[in-house]
Amino acid sequence: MQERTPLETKIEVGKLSVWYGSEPALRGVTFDVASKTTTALIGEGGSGKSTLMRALNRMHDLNPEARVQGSIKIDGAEILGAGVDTARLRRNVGMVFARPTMLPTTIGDNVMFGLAAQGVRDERSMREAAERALRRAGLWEQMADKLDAPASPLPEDTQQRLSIARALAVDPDVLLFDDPTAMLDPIAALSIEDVIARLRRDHTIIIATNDLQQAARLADITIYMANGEIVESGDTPLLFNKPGDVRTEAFLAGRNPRGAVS
Amino acid sequence: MSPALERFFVTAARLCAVAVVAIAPLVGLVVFAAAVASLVRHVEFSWDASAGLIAATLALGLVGATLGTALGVGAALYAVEIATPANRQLIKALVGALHAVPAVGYGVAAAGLLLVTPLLPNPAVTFSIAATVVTVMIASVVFVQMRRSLSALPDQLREAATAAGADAVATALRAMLPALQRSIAGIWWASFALALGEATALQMIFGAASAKSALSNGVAISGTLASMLLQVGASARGVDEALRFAPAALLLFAMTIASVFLGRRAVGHVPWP
Amino acid sequence: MAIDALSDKPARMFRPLPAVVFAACAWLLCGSVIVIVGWLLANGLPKVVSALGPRGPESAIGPLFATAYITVLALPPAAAVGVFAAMGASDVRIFGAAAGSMRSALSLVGSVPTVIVAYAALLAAAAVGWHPSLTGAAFVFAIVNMPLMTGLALRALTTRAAKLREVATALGAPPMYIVISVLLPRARMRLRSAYIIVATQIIGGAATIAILAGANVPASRGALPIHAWPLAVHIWTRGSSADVYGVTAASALLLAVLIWVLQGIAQLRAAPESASQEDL
Repeated sequence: MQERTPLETKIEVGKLSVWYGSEPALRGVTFDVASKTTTALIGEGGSGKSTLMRALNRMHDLNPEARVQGSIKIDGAEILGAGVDTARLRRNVGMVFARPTMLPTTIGDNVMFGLAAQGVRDERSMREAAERALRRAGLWEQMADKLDAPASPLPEDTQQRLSIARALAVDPDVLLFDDPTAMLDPIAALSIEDVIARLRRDHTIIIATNDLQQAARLADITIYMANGEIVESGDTPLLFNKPGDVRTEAFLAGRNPRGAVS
Repeated sequence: MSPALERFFVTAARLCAVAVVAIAPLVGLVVFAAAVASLVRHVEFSWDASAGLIAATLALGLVGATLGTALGVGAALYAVEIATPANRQLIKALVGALHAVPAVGYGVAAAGLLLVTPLLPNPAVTFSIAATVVTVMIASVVFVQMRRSLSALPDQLREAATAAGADAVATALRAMLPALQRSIAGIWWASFALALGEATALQMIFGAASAKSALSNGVAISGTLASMLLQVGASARGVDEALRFAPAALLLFAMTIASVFLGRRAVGHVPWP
Repeated sequence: MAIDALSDKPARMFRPLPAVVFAACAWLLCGSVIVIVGWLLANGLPKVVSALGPRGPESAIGPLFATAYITVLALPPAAAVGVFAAMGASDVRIFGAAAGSMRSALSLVGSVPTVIVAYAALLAAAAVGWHPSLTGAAFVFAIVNMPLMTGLALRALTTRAAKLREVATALGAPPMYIVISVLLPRARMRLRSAYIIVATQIIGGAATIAILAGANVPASRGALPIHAWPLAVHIWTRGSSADVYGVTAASALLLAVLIWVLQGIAQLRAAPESASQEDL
């Protein structure tokens, strides 16, 4: 891993709590993410990784039961609360989900969807943006002459790369990956990892994953979460080799972290 | 889409949703105002006469909802889980046709039942005929809703039951039925609300123009608040005459809304209307 | 030994009684449709045949024309308001914190009995001095069917749409853009079948118009068929009189066949889309 120089802070999360109904899913989480770094969120199922990811681009707005407290600043600007242009926020903070979902239209329209939603009408600039995005997702050679074909029949790993291209087409600063290889076989998962690795230089990336090796391979910083809280965070090699908390150690060793506490 | 167009569509959608939602309170308000007006203007209304109608409405609602739900749930379980593919298609088509029969069709058939029944003046017989008609109407609706609920259950549930050695009947009884317990309770409440307001078929049974009807004598036991309102509507001349039945209309409105509310409180979800 | 054990028939948990009860429920329902249709055929078919004679069509044209008039007039406003209301209720962001209450209220509206809505309309019309008319009845039919159309359209827009909405939202698309450019085109077939289902409700609905206009008016008035009563009311007014039972049964049969045809079309139209949704 190449040596990093001190970088400006891209995301500041302060005392962030999220409830679904009366159930707390996140409990006062605080952390910063530096610009153009890759951060991995690891933890058991239900530890709050996905909830945290979804708060970062206000996807929780789609859940009427979600209640959010605390602060999230991106480039110093608060994104929670009323009056935020959420459409612009989501174009700046792209998201790729665990299961690739194709919009019921062509491959080209899928990639250009974000631009069309933004109001871009110039066919040529849209095609150029789509080509750029597909190239960065490693799909251009494969898809160049299939832009008018329907997207749904594509194999799942290609769909996932297309999802990444779709997110890249609107040129986001931050990319959120919510367990992007969960549905893929190991070979396909590695090809997605390759794409993410290439994007690290130009984007601030946060990836929630259940694959510890993937976190170790991709992330500069790793955050271990349990029960809606951050247990420990730090440089990935350090956290994996010398965890400071017994719960982190137990989780990394494949033991029940709750047992480690008691 | 430009922001202005987006705003226009959002506003139009909001207005339309509010307009649809406003139907219930508006109707409630008109009926309530009419009930108050009938009191103020001392329009004749007899609670004694209405007591029978209220009792018949509740009894018919309970019988229709309970028997209809049982019949519809059983039929759907057989059609989806147990029947052979050919039988499944046949049942689906026939009950689908039953579901699409207009209410007046049921009424005509029920009137036919009365025509051939020699024990016409017997209240128990007329109530039974009314209950049978409402049960069949409700059962076809329950069947459609239940079939939808069964198909929405994950295939893994069926697979798990089969892997554990259950045959189709055991799967239906031990896996599907428990999984849909709350849905069935919700379906019962919705059926009850539906049965309370279901009038047309009954109206057909004991006659639209009751004075002239050859069938109307002695069958008032199966009359309900809703069927009475139909009769009023058909013959009312002037506001005062129509106002006589405002308290009954208000009562029926309150009973239906209350049954849906109680259903929501009891099972959290009432799937339709 | 192990092979012998495996070759045995697996232990069956067959319970004959529940199976028989469930089967009886299904065939009882199937039997009832056969009884109803058979009864209507036996009593109504001779009249249908005689109605095909030289004088028959004249008496049928009025009610059929009135049915078509009401349906054509009531369907567009019911459909338009219903679809827009569903668009508003389909995305939680459009009503914000009130979204849950709005959906509950929409389903609650559907439970108000049509007879009460019609009674309220009758009172309101009487209070402002409006005379009963087919146009007025069509207006009431439109209002009565708005909740049904909203419910069907909402189901068409939201069935298996959560992931699509999530993906489109994550790309920065505003709520109404998602509804119009992603969800509406996808729900086109289901919406068409919803229109047909609402049309069958209007065609088959008798109580509303009977209340609004009164059933004592003759089946046709003067030369203009516009003053005739819809088929459903025609049946309704005659339903209980034993002497015209054959005519009633014939009309009910005609109405049922009309509705079955429309429902069949609605199902056929919805079918290809359900198949394509499986692919998503």
